[in-house]
Amino acid sequence: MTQEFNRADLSALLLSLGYSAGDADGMLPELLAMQPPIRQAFTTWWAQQTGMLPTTPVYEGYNPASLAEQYHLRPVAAFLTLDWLATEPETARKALSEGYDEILSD
Amino acid sequence: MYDLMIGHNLKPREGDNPAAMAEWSVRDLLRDSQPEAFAIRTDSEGTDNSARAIRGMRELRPGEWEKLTIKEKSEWLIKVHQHVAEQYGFRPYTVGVQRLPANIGGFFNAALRVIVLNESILKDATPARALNAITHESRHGFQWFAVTNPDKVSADVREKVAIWRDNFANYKNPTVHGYRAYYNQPVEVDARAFAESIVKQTLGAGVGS
Repeated sequence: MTQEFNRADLSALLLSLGYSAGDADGMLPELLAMQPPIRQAFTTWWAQQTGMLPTTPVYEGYNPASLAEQYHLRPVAAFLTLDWLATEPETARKALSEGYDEILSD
Repeated sequence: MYDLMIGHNLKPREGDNPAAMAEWSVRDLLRDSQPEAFAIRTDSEGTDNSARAIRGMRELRPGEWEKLTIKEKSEWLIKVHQHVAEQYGFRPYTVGVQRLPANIGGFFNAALRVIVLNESILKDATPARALNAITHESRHGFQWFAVTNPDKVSADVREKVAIWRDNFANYKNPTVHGYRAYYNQPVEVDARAFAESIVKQTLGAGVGS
Protein backbone atom coordinates (compact mmCIF):
# COMPACT_ATOMS: atom_id res chain seq x y z
CA MET A 1 0.00 0.00 0.00
CA THR A 2 1.28 3.47 -0.77
CA GLN A 3 1.36 6.15 1.93
CA GLU A 4 -1.27 8.15 0.00
CA PHE A 5 -3.59 5.16 0.01
CA ASN A 6 -2.95 4.60 3.67
CA ARG A 7 -3.69 8.19 4.56
CA ALA A 8 -7.07 8.24 2.84
CA ASP A 9 -8.02 4.84 4.15
CA LEU A 10 -6.92 5.61 7.69
CA SER A 11 -8.70 8.92 7.58
CA ALA A 12 -11.92 7.19 6.51
CA LEU A 13 -11.49 4.63 9.28
CA LEU A 14 -11.00 7.30 11.93
CA LEU A 15 -14.06 9.21 10.73
CA SER A 16 -16.10 5.99 10.79
CA LEU A 17 -14.95 5.44 14.38
CA GLY A 18 -16.36 8.81 15.38
CA TYR A 19 -13.21 10.93 15.31
CA SER A 20 -13.53 14.47 14.01
CA ALA A 21 -11.74 15.50 10.81
CA GLY A 22 -9.31 17.56 12.91
CA ASP A 23 -8.60 14.62 15.21
CA ALA A 24 -8.07 12.35 12.21
CA ASP A 25 -5.59 14.78 10.65
CA GLY A 26 -3.68 14.99 13.90
CA MET A 27 -3.58 11.22 14.44
CA LEU A 28 -2.62 10.16 10.92
CA PRO A 29 1.13 10.88 11.22
CA GLU A 30 1.25 8.95 14.50
CA LEU A 31 -0.57 5.96 12.99
CA LEU A 32 1.59 5.96 9.87
CA ALA A 33 4.75 6.03 11.98
CA MET A 34 3.81 3.03 14.16
CA GLN A 35 6.40 0.30 14.59
CA PRO A 36 6.03 -2.39 11.85
CA PRO A 37 4.73 -5.18 14.17
CA ILE A 38 2.14 -2.84 15.68
CA ARG A 39 1.18 -1.49 12.29
CA GLN A 40 0.77 -5.07 11.05
CA ALA A 41 -1.46 -5.93 14.03
CA PHE A 42 -3.46 -2.77 13.43
CA THR A 43 -3.94 -3.59 9.73
CA THR A 44 -5.08 -7.13 10.58
CA TRP A 45 -7.47 -5.87 13.26
CA TRP A 46 -8.89 -3.36 10.82
CA ALA A 47 -9.27 -5.92 8.01
CA GLN A 48 -10.98 -8.49 10.21
CA GLN A 49 -13.55 -6.01 11.51
CA THR A 50 -14.44 -8.28 14.43
CA GLY A 51 -13.88 -5.58 16.99
CA MET A 52 -11.65 -7.97 18.95
CA LEU A 53 -8.29 -6.42 19.73
CA PRO A 54 -5.21 -8.62 19.33
CA THR A 55 -3.06 -9.86 22.21
CA THR A 56 0.14 -9.42 20.22
CA PRO A 57 2.60 -7.81 19.83
CA VAL A 58 3.69 -7.29 23.41
CA TYR A 59 5.79 -4.37 24.64
CA GLU A 60 6.63 -3.71 28.26
CA GLY A 61 4.13 -6.39 29.23
CA TYR A 62 1.25 -4.76 27.36
CA ASN A 63 -0.62 -5.64 24.17
CA PRO A 64 -3.48 -3.81 22.40
CA ALA A 65 -6.20 -5.83 24.15
CA SER A 66 -4.72 -5.47 27.64
CA LEU A 67 -4.17 -1.73 27.25
CA ALA A 68 -7.74 -1.21 26.07
CA GLU A 69 -9.11 -3.22 28.95
CA GLN A 70 -6.89 -1.93 31.73
CA TYR A 71 -6.91 1.74 30.76
CA HIS A 72 -10.29 1.92 29.04
CA LEU A 73 -8.71 2.97 25.76
CA ARG A 74 -10.49 3.05 22.44
CA PRO A 75 -8.92 0.65 19.91
CA VAL A 76 -6.93 3.28 18.02
CA ALA A 77 -5.74 4.81 21.29
CA ALA A 78 -4.61 1.35 22.43
CA PHE A 79 -2.48 0.80 19.32
CA LEU A 80 -0.96 4.27 19.58
CA THR A 81 -0.20 3.84 23.27
CA LEU A 82 1.43 0.48 22.59
CA ASP A 83 3.58 2.18 19.97
CA TRP A 84 4.65 4.73 22.59
CA LEU A 85 5.58 1.88 24.94
CA ALA A 86 7.65 0.40 22.12
CA THR A 87 9.49 3.61 21.26
CA GLU A 88 9.76 5.47 24.59
CA PRO A 89 9.21 2.74 27.19
CA GLU A 90 10.37 4.64 30.24
CA THR A 91 8.30 7.77 29.67
CA ALA A 92 5.27 5.79 28.54
CA ARG A 93 5.37 3.47 31.55
CA LYS A 94 5.68 6.47 33.88
CA ALA A 95 2.74 8.21 32.20
CA LEU A 96 0.56 5.11 32.44
CA SER A 97 1.40 4.61 36.11
CA GLU A 98 0.67 8.24 36.96
CA GLY A 99 -2.74 8.21 35.33
CA TYR A 100 -4.21 11.29 33.78
CA ASP A 101 -6.34 14.35 34.33
CA GLU A 102 -8.95 15.99 32.15
CA ILE A 103 -9.83 19.48 31.05
CA LEU A 104 -13.49 20.10 30.39
CA SER A 105 -14.23 23.38 28.72
CA ASP A 106 -17.90 23.10 27.84
CA MET B 1 -0.59 41.72 45.84
CA TYR B 2 -1.72 44.33 48.42
CA ASP B 3 1.57 43.85 50.30
CA LEU B 4 3.09 46.09 47.64
CA MET B 5 1.56 49.07 49.41
CA ILE B 6 2.86 48.29 52.87
CA GLY B 7 5.57 50.68 54.01
CA HIS B 8 4.92 53.22 51.29
CA ASN B 9 4.65 56.82 52.38
CA LEU B 10 1.66 58.00 50.39
CA LYS B 11 2.08 61.71 51.17
CA PRO B 12 3.49 63.74 48.27
CA ARG B 13 7.11 64.73 48.80
CA GLU B 14 9.33 67.34 47.28
CA GLY B 15 10.81 66.01 44.07
CA ASP B 16 7.93 63.67 43.40
CA ASN B 17 7.01 63.44 39.75
CA PRO B 18 3.31 64.43 39.50
CA ALA B 19 2.83 62.47 36.27
CA ALA B 20 4.32 59.33 37.83
CA MET B 21 2.24 59.86 40.97
CA ALA B 22 -0.89 60.18 38.86
CA GLU B 23 0.03 57.04 36.97
CA TRP B 24 0.50 55.16 40.23
CA SER B 25 -2.87 56.42 41.46
CA VAL B 26 -4.52 55.14 38.31
CA ARG B 27 -2.76 51.81 38.66
CA ASP B 28 -3.93 51.57 42.26
CA LEU B 29 -7.50 52.27 41.21
CA LEU B 30 -7.26 49.68 38.48
CA ARG B 31 -5.71 47.20 40.89
CA ASP B 32 -8.63 47.66 43.25
CA SER B 33 -11.26 47.29 40.57
CA GLN B 34 -9.43 44.46 38.81
CA PRO B 35 -7.46 42.68 41.51
CA GLU B 36 -6.22 40.11 39.01
CA ALA B 37 -4.22 42.72 37.08
CA PHE B 38 -0.53 43.47 37.71
CA ALA B 39 -0.04 40.43 39.92
CA ILE B 40 3.38 39.26 38.73
CA ARG B 41 5.97 40.39 36.21
CA THR B 42 7.05 36.98 34.92
CA ASP B 43 5.82 33.43 34.97
CA SER B 44 8.81 32.20 36.95
CA GLU B 45 8.16 34.91 39.55
CA GLY B 46 4.68 33.46 39.96
CA THR B 47 6.07 29.95 40.34
CA ASP B 48 8.67 31.00 42.89
CA ASN B 49 6.21 33.13 44.87
CA SER B 50 3.67 30.30 44.88
CA ALA B 51 6.31 27.83 46.10
CA ARG B 52 7.41 30.23 48.82
CA ALA B 53 3.85 30.74 50.03
CA ILE B 54 3.10 27.01 49.99
CA ARG B 55 6.38 26.13 51.70
CA GLY B 56 5.35 28.23 54.69
CA MET B 57 2.14 26.30 55.28
CA ARG B 58 1.80 24.61 58.65
CA GLU B 59 0.46 21.43 57.06
CA LEU B 60 3.78 20.81 55.33
CA ARG B 61 5.91 20.97 58.44
CA PRO B 62 7.49 17.63 59.37
CA GLY B 63 5.01 15.35 61.13
CA GLU B 64 1.96 17.51 60.38
CA TRP B 65 0.52 15.78 57.28
CA GLU B 66 0.05 12.46 59.06
CA LYS B 67 -2.05 14.13 61.76
CA LEU B 68 -4.53 15.71 59.36
CA THR B 69 -7.96 14.27 58.70
CA ILE B 70 -9.24 13.91 55.12
CA LYS B 71 -11.38 17.01 55.69
CA GLU B 72 -8.37 19.01 56.86
CA LYS B 73 -6.34 17.80 53.89
CA SER B 74 -9.18 18.88 51.58
CA GLU B 75 -9.14 22.31 53.19
CA TRP B 76 -5.38 22.42 52.70
CA LEU B 77 -5.86 21.75 48.97
CA ILE B 78 -8.11 24.79 48.77
CA LYS B 79 -5.53 26.95 50.53
CA VAL B 80 -2.75 25.75 48.21
CA HIS B 81 -4.91 26.62 45.22
CA GLN B 82 -5.64 30.03 46.71
CA HIS B 83 -1.92 30.71 47.09
CA VAL B 84 -1.36 29.97 43.39
CA ALA B 85 -4.40 32.02 42.38
CA GLU B 86 -3.25 34.95 44.48
CA GLN B 87 0.26 34.94 43.08
CA TYR B 88 -0.94 34.66 39.48
CA GLY B 89 -3.78 37.10 40.01
CA PHE B 90 -6.78 35.02 39.01
CA ARG B 91 -10.02 34.44 40.88
CA PRO B 92 -9.79 31.07 42.68
CA TYR B 93 -11.83 28.17 41.36
CA THR B 94 -13.97 25.91 43.51
CA VAL B 95 -11.81 23.00 44.68
CA GLY B 96 -13.17 19.66 45.82
CA VAL B 97 -12.36 15.97 46.10
CA GLN B 98 -14.34 13.01 44.83
CA ARG B 99 -13.98 9.29 44.50
CA LEU B 100 -12.72 8.86 40.94
CA PRO B 101 -11.36 5.85 39.03
CA ALA B 102 -7.85 4.98 40.20
CA ASN B 103 -6.09 6.17 37.04
CA ILE B 104 -7.78 9.60 37.01
CA GLY B 105 -5.95 12.15 39.13
CA GLY B 106 -8.61 14.80 38.76
CA PHE B 107 -10.08 17.29 36.37
CA PHE B 108 -10.47 20.98 35.69
CA ASN B 109 -13.86 22.11 34.47
CA ALA B 110 -13.51 25.59 33.02
CA ALA B 111 -17.21 26.10 32.36
CA LEU B 112 -18.19 25.31 35.95
CA ARG B 113 -15.04 26.92 37.40
CA VAL B 114 -14.31 23.73 39.33
CA ILE B 115 -11.23 21.67 40.13
CA VAL B 116 -11.92 18.15 41.36
CA LEU B 117 -9.21 15.80 42.61
CA ASN B 118 -9.25 12.09 43.28
CA GLU B 119 -9.86 11.56 46.97
CA SER B 120 -7.34 8.69 47.00
CA ILE B 121 -4.38 11.10 46.86
CA LEU B 122 -5.27 12.36 50.32
CA LYS B 123 -4.69 8.91 51.77
CA ASP B 124 -0.99 8.89 50.87
CA ALA B 125 1.60 8.90 53.63
CA THR B 126 3.14 12.09 52.23
CA PRO B 127 1.64 15.25 50.68
CA ALA B 128 3.74 14.98 47.49
CA ARG B 129 1.09 13.53 45.19
CA ALA B 130 -1.66 15.80 46.52
CA LEU B 131 0.54 18.85 46.11
CA ASN B 132 1.46 17.79 42.60
CA ALA B 133 -2.19 17.23 41.67
CA ILE B 134 -3.58 20.48 43.06
CA THR B 135 -0.81 22.62 41.58
CA HIS B 136 -1.17 20.82 38.23
CA GLU B 137 -4.91 21.53 38.10
CA SER B 138 -4.38 25.07 39.41
CA ARG B 139 -2.03 25.64 36.52
CA HIS B 140 -4.76 24.55 34.11
CA GLY B 141 -6.94 27.11 35.86
CA PHE B 142 -4.31 29.76 35.22
CA GLN B 143 -3.89 28.67 31.59
CA TRP B 144 -7.63 29.13 31.11
CA PHE B 145 -7.48 32.54 32.79
CA ALA B 146 -4.60 33.53 30.50
CA VAL B 147 -6.45 32.40 27.38
CA THR B 148 -9.58 34.29 28.35
CA ASN B 149 -7.72 37.35 29.75
CA PRO B 150 -4.50 37.71 27.75
CA ASP B 151 -4.26 41.39 28.69
CA LYS B 152 -4.02 40.44 32.38
CA VAL B 153 -1.01 38.14 32.27
CA SER B 154 2.70 38.81 32.01
CA ALA B 155 4.33 39.21 28.59
CA ASP B 156 6.09 35.83 28.71
CA VAL B 157 2.81 34.07 29.45
CA ARG B 158 1.05 36.05 26.72
CA GLU B 159 3.41 34.44 24.21
CA LYS B 160 1.99 31.03 25.11
CA VAL B 161 -1.66 32.01 24.94
CA ALA B 162 -2.26 31.19 21.26
CA ILE B 163 -0.83 27.68 21.70
CA TRP B 164 -2.86 27.09 24.86
CA ARG B 165 -6.04 28.39 23.22
CA ASP B 166 -5.60 26.04 20.30
CA ASN B 167 -4.84 23.16 22.67
CA PHE B 168 -7.94 23.81 24.79
CA ALA B 169 -9.99 23.72 21.59
CA ASN B 170 -8.34 20.43 20.57
CA TYR B 171 -7.68 18.79 23.91
CA LYS B 172 -6.36 15.22 23.69
CA ASN B 173 -7.83 12.66 26.03
CA PRO B 174 -5.69 9.53 26.50
CA THR B 175 -8.62 7.14 26.20
CA VAL B 176 -9.53 8.63 22.82
CA HIS B 177 -6.23 9.83 21.33
CA GLY B 178 -3.72 7.65 23.19
CA TYR B 179 -1.40 8.45 26.06
CA ARG B 180 1.41 9.93 23.93
CA ALA B 181 -0.85 12.61 22.43
CA TYR B 182 -2.26 13.39 25.88
CA TYR B 183 1.12 13.54 27.60
CA ASN B 184 2.87 15.68 24.97
CA GLN B 185 0.18 18.33 24.42
CA PRO B 186 1.28 21.86 25.42
CA VAL B 187 -1.11 22.48 28.32
CA GLU B 188 -0.18 19.18 29.96
CA VAL B 189 3.56 19.67 29.44
CA ASP B 190 3.27 23.13 30.98
CA ALA B 191 1.10 22.02 33.92
CA ARG B 192 3.46 19.13 34.66
CA ALA B 193 6.50 21.42 34.63
CA PHE B 194 4.77 23.92 36.93
CA ALA B 195 3.65 21.26 39.43
CA GLU B 196 7.03 19.53 39.44
CA SER B 197 8.77 22.85 40.10
CA ILE B 198 6.45 23.63 43.01
CA VAL B 199 6.86 20.16 44.52
CA LYS B 200 10.62 20.36 44.17
CA GLN B 201 10.85 23.84 45.66
CA THR B 202 8.42 23.02 48.43
CA LEU B 203 9.26 19.46 49.46
CA GLY B 204 12.74 19.29 48.00
CA ALA B 205 12.10 16.35 45.71
CA GLY B 206 10.02 15.13 42.79
CA VAL B 207 6.62 13.62 43.32
CA GLY B 208 7.95 10.15 42.78
CA SER B 209 10.87 10.57 45.16
